[in-house]
Amino acid sequence: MPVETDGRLARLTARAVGRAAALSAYAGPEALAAFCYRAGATAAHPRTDARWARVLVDRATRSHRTALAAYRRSRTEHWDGWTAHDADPAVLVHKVYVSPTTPAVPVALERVVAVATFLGVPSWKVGADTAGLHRADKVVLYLPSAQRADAVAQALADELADLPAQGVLFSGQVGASGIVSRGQDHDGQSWRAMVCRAVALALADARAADQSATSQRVAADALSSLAADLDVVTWYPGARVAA
Amino acid sequence: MSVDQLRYVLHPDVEQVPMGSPGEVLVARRGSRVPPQLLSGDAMALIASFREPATLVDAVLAYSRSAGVDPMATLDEAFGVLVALTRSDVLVVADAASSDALQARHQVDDAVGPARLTEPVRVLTDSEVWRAALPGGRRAVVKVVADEGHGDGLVARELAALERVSGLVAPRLVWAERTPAGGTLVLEEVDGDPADLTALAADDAGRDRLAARVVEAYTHLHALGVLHGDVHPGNVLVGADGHVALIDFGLAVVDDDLAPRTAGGEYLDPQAADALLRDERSQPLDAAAEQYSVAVLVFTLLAGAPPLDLECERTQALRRIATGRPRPFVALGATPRPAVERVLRRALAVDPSRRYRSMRTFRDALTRALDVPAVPLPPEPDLTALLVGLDTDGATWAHADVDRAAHVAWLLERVATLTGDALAHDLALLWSTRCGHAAPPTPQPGTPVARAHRALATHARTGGPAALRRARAVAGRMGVPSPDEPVDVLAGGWAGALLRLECAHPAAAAQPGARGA
Repeated sequence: MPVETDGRLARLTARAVGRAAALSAYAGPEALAAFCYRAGATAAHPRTDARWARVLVDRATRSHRTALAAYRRSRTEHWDGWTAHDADPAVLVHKVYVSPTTPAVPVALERVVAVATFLGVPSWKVGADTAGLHRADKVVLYLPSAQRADAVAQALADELADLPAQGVLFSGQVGASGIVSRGQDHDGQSWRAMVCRAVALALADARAADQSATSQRVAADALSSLAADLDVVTWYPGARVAA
Repeated sequence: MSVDQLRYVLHPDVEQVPMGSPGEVLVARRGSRVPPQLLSGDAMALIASFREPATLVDAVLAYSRSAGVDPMATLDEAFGVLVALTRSDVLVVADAASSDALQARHQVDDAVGPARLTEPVRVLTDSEVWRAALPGGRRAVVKVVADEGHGDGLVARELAALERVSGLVAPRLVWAERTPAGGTLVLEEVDGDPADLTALAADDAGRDRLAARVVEAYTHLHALGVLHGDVHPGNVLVGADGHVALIDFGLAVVDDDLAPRTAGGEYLDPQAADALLRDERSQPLDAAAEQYSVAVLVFTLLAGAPPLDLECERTQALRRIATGRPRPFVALGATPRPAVERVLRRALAVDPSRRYRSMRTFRDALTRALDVPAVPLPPEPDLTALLVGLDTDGATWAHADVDRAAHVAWLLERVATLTGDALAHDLALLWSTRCGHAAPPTPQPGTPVARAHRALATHARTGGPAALRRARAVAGRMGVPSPDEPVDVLAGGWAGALLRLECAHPAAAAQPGARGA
């Protein structure tokens, strides 16, 4: 899988780590992890109709009714999900994130559903409320192997290449724009939640070791302490993550 | 048997949704047309006594014993609730037919006329709607009406209307069968969304086209001698190609026949609302009343919210419909459209004689008005360069104390909210965490920022341009921020820059420090 070592997501994530390092002088690891996890989202305009997200999701799936008959649909307050009747959710840990800018969501959703049904992706979910379509990881697809996840990610990156990307920080960029990226859950823990917590703890440790260190120093020390377990440049999954 | 001897039970189809306030629960009966009722925690504890059949007296006594309260006081407080719950069939007489769980009359794969049922859409106590397939694969909708009281009339009126409009402004009727309690209709499916949902996914030009097509559909309908009688976005379906189809003609008026009127809702015309307020019978539906309802719909599609604020209790809502003036678009966060708003104000006149002569003249006026360009909003100031200076490598981050950080966080949160800018979002999150989510102080009354926000609120309420001009003038006088000026959202260049941004979004403007902004 070609990995973007100097991709947009790598740069955005490095900047977020730098900001979190500066924040470590004022906040503890929990707040730092929350900052890292939420970075890269946008705010919803207060006048946005609460039904807007669900309308977009419903419209995107309408022309794929026949293919979607092979899936079980789930609806929660924040997500709409589709899981193939024969899928085993326990093995679906390889993630593909799709992150168009909010105005590009209607077009992107249509294409994602088309690709997902065509390639037989066993499970995916879409943010189904206003906040969900403003977060960075608006769409998440789940696959049983890294190989299949890479293939789906590449297909999506090709299909969505002309759309503007928002980008999911702390995930491995696939394709040129950063609209598609990869993650991998471990032991029932979400990839980004796990990585953001690891980064936050490392930043807090680095700050505690030297209260007067510059933010750059804190960030560098934290990342080097994580480098054995994580790819701290591309954030592409694959390396073992410390518990 | 007298009422005090009857044993009541909580209907098996009752669904409960806990609400935000502790103990409060929204209660509704699945399949019922009665809106959900909000019950207090105490009321919920009382009706829990009806999980097993119980008389009203026994339930009140049991609840009072367990809560340690006076049974007479309980009865006094709960009597109204118990009556309402029996009327809405949430509490039903045990062992009566009405206590049975709701069962669909049909099931998947049943043949209904030429159609084969594929999926239930809605199952109510008095009707059902199903998706279905026709021979050759065409999709259909099957509507079953089984209402002993009104079903026959509903289906008769629907068939009479469809005889005129089927396949024109309504889906094509494929097959029908009458029964004493109503009947069954098979209609070609309109693969589309309700008009309001279509508008949500459309851009400005798309909403204009949609509004024009909706009015065109009603113009066509009236020209065919039919009044719909049930205007609301769920009955106006829009296909993927933009074609508008009207559905549900059970309350339709064909050639001045009489039909029952809807019992409420935001599409009610002022005369019908006035009659309901007086507990009088509504006048029969006429074209002017329907013009009002269509204008409410068009207003909602274009502005994103209805012309009147009806989020209040029923009597107050009816009073507002009977006497109210539509809100300006700007109050709803929509771009001002003076020409369009003028046309809609006339179609929404409380006095029907002041409305357009016909749906056709309303359509013509609206078509002309939609061609008039919208009033451009004041340009948003470009704050991108300024935001970069607030990042962690800038002097502000190095030197800000908690109070200053609260000003910066407020500024960034407002920029992020009003512009959707991703950098502003991340910086707002950063600064907000740094200052412990503290808010800056609210401006003192009489200060420029306070005066400007008062003017913005006036503008948002009335649409009057003078108030907006006043707010913009204040913002202009506050100047522009210089790179070394400390961030202050109450005075100075930074406050001026933020105020200019708020002026571009008057309906969403928030005074510094305002809770819930």
